[in-house]
Amino acid sequence: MKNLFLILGLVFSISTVNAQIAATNTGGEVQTVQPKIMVIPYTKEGEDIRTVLEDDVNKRIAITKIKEAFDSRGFTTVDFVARLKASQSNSVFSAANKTDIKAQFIQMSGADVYVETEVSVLNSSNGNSVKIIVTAYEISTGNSLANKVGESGKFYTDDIGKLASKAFGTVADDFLDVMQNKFTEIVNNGKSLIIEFGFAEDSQYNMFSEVGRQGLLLSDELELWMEQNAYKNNYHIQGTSDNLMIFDDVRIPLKDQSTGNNYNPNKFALEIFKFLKTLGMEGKRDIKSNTIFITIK
Amino acid sequence: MAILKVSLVTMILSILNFNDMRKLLMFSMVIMLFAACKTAYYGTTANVVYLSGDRETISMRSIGIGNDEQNAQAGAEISAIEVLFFRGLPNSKQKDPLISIDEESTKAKYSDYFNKFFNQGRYRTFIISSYAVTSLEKVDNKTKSMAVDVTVNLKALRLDLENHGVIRKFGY
Repeated sequence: MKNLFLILGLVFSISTVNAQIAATNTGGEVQTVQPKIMVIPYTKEGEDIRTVLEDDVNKRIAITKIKEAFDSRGFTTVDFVARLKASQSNSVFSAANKTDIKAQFIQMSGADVYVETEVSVLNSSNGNSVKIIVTAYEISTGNSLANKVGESGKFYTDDIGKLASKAFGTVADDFLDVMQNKFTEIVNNGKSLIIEFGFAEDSQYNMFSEVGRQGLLLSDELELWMEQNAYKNNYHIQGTSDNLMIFDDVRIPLKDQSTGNNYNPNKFALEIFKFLKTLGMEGKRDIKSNTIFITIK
Repeated sequence: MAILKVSLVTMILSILNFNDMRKLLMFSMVIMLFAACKTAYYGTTANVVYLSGDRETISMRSIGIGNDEQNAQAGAEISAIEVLFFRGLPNSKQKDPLISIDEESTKAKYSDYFNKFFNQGRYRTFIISSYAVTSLEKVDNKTKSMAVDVTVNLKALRLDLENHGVIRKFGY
C-alpha cells in the first residue's frame, strides 16, 4: 500500500512539473506579444543623443506629439528618455565614439522598431514654419517601415513647439496607417530574423565540410533546412564563405502554428540547435534582439 | 448627337415611305424624346467629397438618392461611411480605406457586423451631424437626389471596427 501511494505521489509530482502555475494560468488565452516602439531624435554627425533632447525643447515637443499619436491608437511606446537614463546608469555605453553610442543604445534598448524624428525650423520675414521628418525602422533588419514629411505652413509666431505639433499633425494618421500596413505584412508573412552561422576558432568544420548521412556540404544542409523551416518558405541568403554563412532575412511566424502560443527567435534558434545535433555537431547560440548567432564548435 | 439621331430616324422613315410630313415629324419627336430619356444613371457612384477634418472627425459632402428627403439623407450618410470604409477620401487624413478596398469579401466575411451597421441603422451612432445643403432634386422619373454635409466620428468608428475584429488594432 505504501508503495502504491509512493508511486501515485511520484506520478502526480511529475505531471505537475511542466504545468502552468495557477497564478499565471489564463486557461489557454494567448495575447500576441506586441512590437516595442521607441521614438528618438535625429542626431547629426558629432551630436550626442544623450544631450540633444535636453538642449532643445522643440525636439521634445515633437517627440511627445509622436508618442501621443501612438497612444491615440491604444499603443504604448517605450520611453526614450527613461530608457536612456537606465542605460547610462547601467553603464551600457562602452565606446567613446558618439555615433557608436546611438547604435549601441538602439541595440540595447530592447525595442523592435524605432522612429527617428528630425525637426527643422525655417525662419523668414513672412512667417516661421517647421518641417518634421519621421522615419520608422525595424531594428533587426534596418528596413524602413514608414517615412513622412510634415509641414506646418508659415505663421507669424515664435511658438516653434506649436508649429512642430501642427507639422506632425498633418501626417500623423498617414504615418501610423503605413506602419500598420507593414505590421499586417509581418503578421501575414512572418517576422524577419538575421541568422549568422560561424565557427569556433578550434572547430574542425567549415561551410564546405561534408556532413550528415547524405554527405552534403554544411552550407547546403543549412540552406535545405532553412528552405523547409522558414515561415512560408521565405528566406534570403546574404552570402556564404568558408567560415561564415549569413541569412539576412529569415521569416518566422508570430504564433506557433501548432499550439497558437507566441513564437520568438529563441525558439527558432533552439530548432536550429537541434538540427545541428542531428548532423552530429555541437553549437553555441547567442541571440541579440532579432539576430541569431550560431557558433559551430 | 440628338440631331444625328433625328436625321437617321427621318432617313429610315423616308425609306419606309411616310407621306404625311406632320406624322413624320411627330414620330421623329417621339423617337427623340425616347432617346433622351435613355440617359444612363449610375446609382452606385460615390459622390462624396472631403470638406474638413481633424484627428477625431471628418466632414464630407455626400449626394444621397431616394424617393423622399429621409431616404436621400440616409443614402448620403451610408454613402459617406462606405467611402471611408472601402475607398478613402483624397486630400483628407483618411486617404486610405479604413478597412480594405475589397468591399465584397469584407462584407461577406463580417456579414453580421455590416447587417447591424447598415441595415439596422447602427451607423447613425457614428454620425455627429448631418445637414441637407440642397433641396431634393429630380434625377430622372423615379429618382431624386440631395446633397448632405455629413460629419463622422472617425475615432469612434475606427475603435468600433477594432473591437469587432473587422480591422486589427495598431501593432501585430
